[in-house]
Parts: sequence; C-alpha cells; structure tokens
Amino acid sequence: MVQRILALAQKEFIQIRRDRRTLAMMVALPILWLILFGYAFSFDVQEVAVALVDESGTAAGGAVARAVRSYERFTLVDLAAPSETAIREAIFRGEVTMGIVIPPGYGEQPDTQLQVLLDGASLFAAQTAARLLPGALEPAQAELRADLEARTRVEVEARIQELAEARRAELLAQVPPIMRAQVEEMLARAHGPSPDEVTIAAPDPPSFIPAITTLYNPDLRTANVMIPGLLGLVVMFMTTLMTALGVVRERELGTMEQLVVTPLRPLELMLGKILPYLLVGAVDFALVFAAGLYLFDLTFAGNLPLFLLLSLLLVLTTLGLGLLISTVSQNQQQAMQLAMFAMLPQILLSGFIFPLDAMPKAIKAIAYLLPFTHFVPIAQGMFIKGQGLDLLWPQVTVLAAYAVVVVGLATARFRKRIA
Amino acid sequence: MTYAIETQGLTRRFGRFTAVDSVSLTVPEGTVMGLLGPNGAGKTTLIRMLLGALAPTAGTGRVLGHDLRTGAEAIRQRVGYMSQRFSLYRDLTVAENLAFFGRVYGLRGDELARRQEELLAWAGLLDQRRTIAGDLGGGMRQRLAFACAILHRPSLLLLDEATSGVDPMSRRRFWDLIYGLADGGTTVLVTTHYMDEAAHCDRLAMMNAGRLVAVGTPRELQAAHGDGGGLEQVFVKLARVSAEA
Ligand SMILES: Nc1ncnc2c1ncn2[C@@H]1O[C@H](COP(=O)(O)OP(=O)(O)O)[C@@H](O)[C@H]1O
Ligand SMILES: [Mg+2]
Repeated sequence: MVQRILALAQKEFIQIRRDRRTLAMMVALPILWLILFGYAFSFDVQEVAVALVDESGTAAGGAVARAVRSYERFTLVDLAAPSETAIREAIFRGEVTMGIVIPPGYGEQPDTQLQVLLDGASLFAAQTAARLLPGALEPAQAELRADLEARTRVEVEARIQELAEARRAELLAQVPPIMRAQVEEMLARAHGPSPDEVTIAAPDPPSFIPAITTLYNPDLRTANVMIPGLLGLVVMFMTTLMTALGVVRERELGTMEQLVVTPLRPLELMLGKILPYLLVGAVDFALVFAAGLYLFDLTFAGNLPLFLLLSLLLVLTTLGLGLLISTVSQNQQQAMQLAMFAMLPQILLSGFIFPLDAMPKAIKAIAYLLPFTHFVPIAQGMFIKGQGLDLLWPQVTVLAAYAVVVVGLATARFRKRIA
Repeated sequence: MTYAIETQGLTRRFGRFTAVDSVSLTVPEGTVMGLLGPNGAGKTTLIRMLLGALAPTAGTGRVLGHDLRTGAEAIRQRVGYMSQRFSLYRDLTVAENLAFFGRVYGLRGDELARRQEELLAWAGLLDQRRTIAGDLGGGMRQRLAFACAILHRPSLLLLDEATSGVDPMSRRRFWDLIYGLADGGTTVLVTTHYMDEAAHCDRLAMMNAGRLVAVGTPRELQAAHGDGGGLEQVFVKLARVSAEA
C-alpha cells in the first residue's frame, strides 16, 4: 500500500518538475503576493502633506507651530493666504492631507483647541496623519512645560525678594536708630532663603497629548499583520488549486481510466495525489515564512510547532476542498474556475484584507462560514502576539471541525466518483 | 473447460439508455476472443464492467474465478487492460511510465528493473527509453501501452481497439505480440474494427445495440451469416439486422 502511494507521489513529482507553468506558479505566486501584500499593498504612508495656520499669537501657539514644522514625516505645504478656508481648498485639490489651525489666544484663553482637518478621501494617509500627530506635538509639550517652569521660577524669585525686603524693613523699624547700621550689616551677612532652595511648586501644565502606547506592532506596519495571513493564503491557494487540477488532469487526459484498473485503491489514489501537493504547500509556507522573518523583519512570537500543527488543519481543509472540486469538474478549466469561486470570498471576507468588524452583519455571517476566516486570527495572534490555545481555542475548534468534515466529505465523494 | 470470463445477463444502463443488454458470454482460458460491433454497440462498457471499473446494473459475471461485484481487487491484480484511448502519461518518459505502473503492481528493485528491460526489448523500445511518451509515434505508443498492460504478467488481457489508427506494419507487429502471449497461455479479449484481425481470433463475439448477436469461430460465423462473402459481409449483415429489429 505504501509502495503504491509512494509510486504515485513520485510520478506526480516528476510531472510537477516537467511542468514549467506549475513550477513557475509555485515559486512566482508567493513572491508576487509578498510584493503585493507586503510592500505595494502596504497601508503605511511615509510622508503626509500638512498645511498649518497659526492665528494664536501666543507662546503655546508658537511652540505647536514649531513642532509641526520640524516633524520629519510632515511635509509643510505653503498656503497663499493662510486661513481655514485656504486649508479646505487645498484639501479639496488634494494638495494637503491634514490641516492644522491654531486659534487666536491658544493656550492662554480658556476653551481654545487645535483644529485639525483631515482628507477622508485619502483614507490611509489621513489615518497615518491622525496617528502621527500626537508624536509630532510632543516637542511642543516639552517646550511649554520648560517655559512654564522658567516663568514660575522668575515669579517665585521676585516674590521671595519682595518678602525679604519687607521683612528687613520691618525689623529695622523695630531697632533703635543707633543700632540700625550694625543690624543692617548682620542681616546682610545672615543667610537669607535663596530661591534655589525653595521648591517650586508650580503645577504641571495640563497635558494636551494623550499618552499612546501601541502594543505588539509599535510601528503599526501593515506587513506585520499581512504576512501571517499571507502564509495561509498562499498555502490555501496552491493546495486547493493544484490538488483539484492534479486529479482532474488525470481524468481529462484519460490516465485515470488506466489508474482505476490497477490495484490502486481509491484511498491510496487520494493519498498519493494529496501528498505531493502537501509538500508543495509546505515549500511555499516556508518561503513566505522566511521572507517574513528576513525581508520584513518580523519575529514569530508564538509557539512554532503549535502553529505548524494548526496550519496543517488549514491545509487538510484546503486539500479536501481541492479534492471535492475535482470530483465535480470535468476538465481543468472547470476546476480552475471552481477553485477561484471557492477561494475569492475567503480572500476578501476572511478579515485578511478588510477588517471583519467593518463588515455588515449579513456579510460577516458569511465570512464566519469560511474556514480561512478562522485561520487569519490564529496566524496573526500567534505570529504577532504569541497567543496560545487558551485564547485561540474557538478558532482552532472550528478549523479542526472543518478539516474533519471536508476531508471526510472529499474522501466519500472521491471513492464514489472513482469506483 | 475453465473460463477466464463468464457472464450471465450482464446489463448496464445509463439512465434510461441500455448500453449493454443482458450479455451472457463465456471466454475459455488461453483463447483469443474478438469482440466485434459497430460504434456504440457497448463493447467498451462491457469491458469496463469486466474490469470492475463500472458496476453492472443487472446480471452476474465471473472473471478469472472472481465475482465482478466483490472480487474487483483480485481481478485487477491479474488482468491487463489497454483502453481505446492512449491512457499513459504523455509527460513521462517510456521508462518512467513502465516504472510507475510496475511499482503500482507491486514490482520493485531488481525485479522491476529486469522486467522493465525485458518489456522494452519485447516492445522494441530499447532506444526510446528516455523519450517522452507524448513524442512517440502511434505504433510505439501502442506498444508502450501494451507493455504497461502486461508488466504484471496478467492471465487475462482486455484490449480495447488497441490497433485503431495505426499503420499496417505496426498492426502486424502488434498482433505478433498478442499471439506470443496467447501461446504462453494468456487469455485475450480484443475489440477491433479490422476484419483481417478478426479472422485471426480463435472465436468471435458480435455485439450490436448492447446485445450479443452472434458467437462462434470465424469459420462458423462466416458459414451462418456470410452469404458466401467474407467476415466483412457477416459484420455488415449482423449490424444491419439488429439495427432494423
Ligand atoms: N458514462 C456513460 N454515460 C452515458 N452513456 C454512456 C456512457 N458510457 C457509454 N455510454 C453510451 O453507451 C453506448 C455504448 O458505448 P460503448 O460501450 O463505448 O460502445 P463501443 O465501445 O462499442 O463503441 C454508447 O451509446 C455510449 O454513448
Ligand atoms: Mg469503444
């Protein structure tokens, strides 16, 4: 039995090796998708075009303006006549992604706030701009604090001086005139409270910047979130498509007719067909994984053997799906179309590209019916956060159930179709 | 007398269409049986049932002593089959095709290598061992398929239009190989459209519209249905008679 399965698998390998198109797809597809999803499809915008209008005339306003101008990821766009209207026009023309208006009296009069205008049509640039703004304003915060401290210190010194003068005059008034010169000399020598020794109990200026700490993916890089899902996507695509094509090709070219009259049992035939494509999937998995680590500087945070095991659950499902497709397809073209039909919704709806939370209820319900939807959180959770089974068990359960059901169904259908 | 093939009322329907209609046929061991009939007569369907690749709708049959329905696995170990369509791997070389089918039939190591050489020589393909099967000419292709069908030394050979579309020289060579096997005791069931080939068979079975319409030696059939003509005449007459019936 093992010999027959191996004979079939080896034959399949020779065929894969000879078929340039398959070989090319096996290597080119992961690379293409890595470029697409890792680089080109990246939602990170490096530089944001910003327009600034400072109407404040205050120190606080000046500090904010300086901070915005000197922030490296903001490219300042000059406005002919700086005003909120001019900003709105610049955003309309697409010249500016974010406009900042510093209102008159900012930082001194109550209820004055920075006004920030974002170009929602440039979705990802606007999101990046909003995310960067707090960081950009940090130097202003620091400057204002230092400034306030300095001013408080001057005030306190003046007050101490004033108090000391008053106290001296009071003392001298109580001393008989003859002794005044002597007392005056003593007082001068006595150690008065120096301003340095007075702790300045000035309150911190109120912070206008929320303290944001991003956990797990501090740079909020798209690649970090995409690569784990891409691992599954590449493997799903290759295994489903190639298994379906591999079986249907035998039927289309008539070789199946010869196979079914050999001692090969349906189950052996199935295993011999699956095994090579499992390996193809593994090669592509390794390729994307390595690219993630070495090209995109990702670190795998979770338990790797567990992740491999859970990925195997996905692969079993997708291999089974490929077999199912092969049982209902007459030729390779049909199989290809069916495979696309089965995979496209999984790519689009799994939360791999578009967030599940953003989907309408009905679509979300469909999304949760797709096996890949349950793999994406496993891949992302384990890769980025190092989550384990204690958190991921619901997804793992669903995926395992899918693997059992799909493989069972495929086996039954395959046996019937072959026998 | 023992029979390699024995069927009783073997029937196969596809939906409402009856492709093989109650065929009762016996093929004695060690004989060459020709299965004749116009296109669509049901020859291929009958052969596929004998292989256990297609379940009969009704009737029973035994092949090499094993029941068709329950003994398919045992049957396949001892039956060789060449389908009417070239069904080897066109993207594998001659040697790779032989090696693959050899391993599927359980040959391995030295035994496989020896058998492979033997068959390459037997089929006259020694110089083509590294040729991709798809690049072979028609005659060589058929000899390769034949070689693959007898790798495991089957006791029964089912050849479905093995020589169609092959030049006369290649056909002659092919039949020499068939006779060689028959002399060694192998039972052969062969379908053909060539009457010169039919004349070389020990016995003939004539099918039309799913039914078995005549069985006998070429001489017997000629006497009964030939009207003084050759086998050609028998074929034409039997095909027409049933079509009118
Ligand atoms: N799988 C099938 N489904 C439906 N009809 C079939 C099938 N296989 C064969 N047939 C029909 O059965 C008839 C007999 O076919 P076949 O056995 O191939 O004839 P032959 O080999 O004698 O030319 C034909 O009319 C063919 O269309
Ligand atoms: Mg036929």
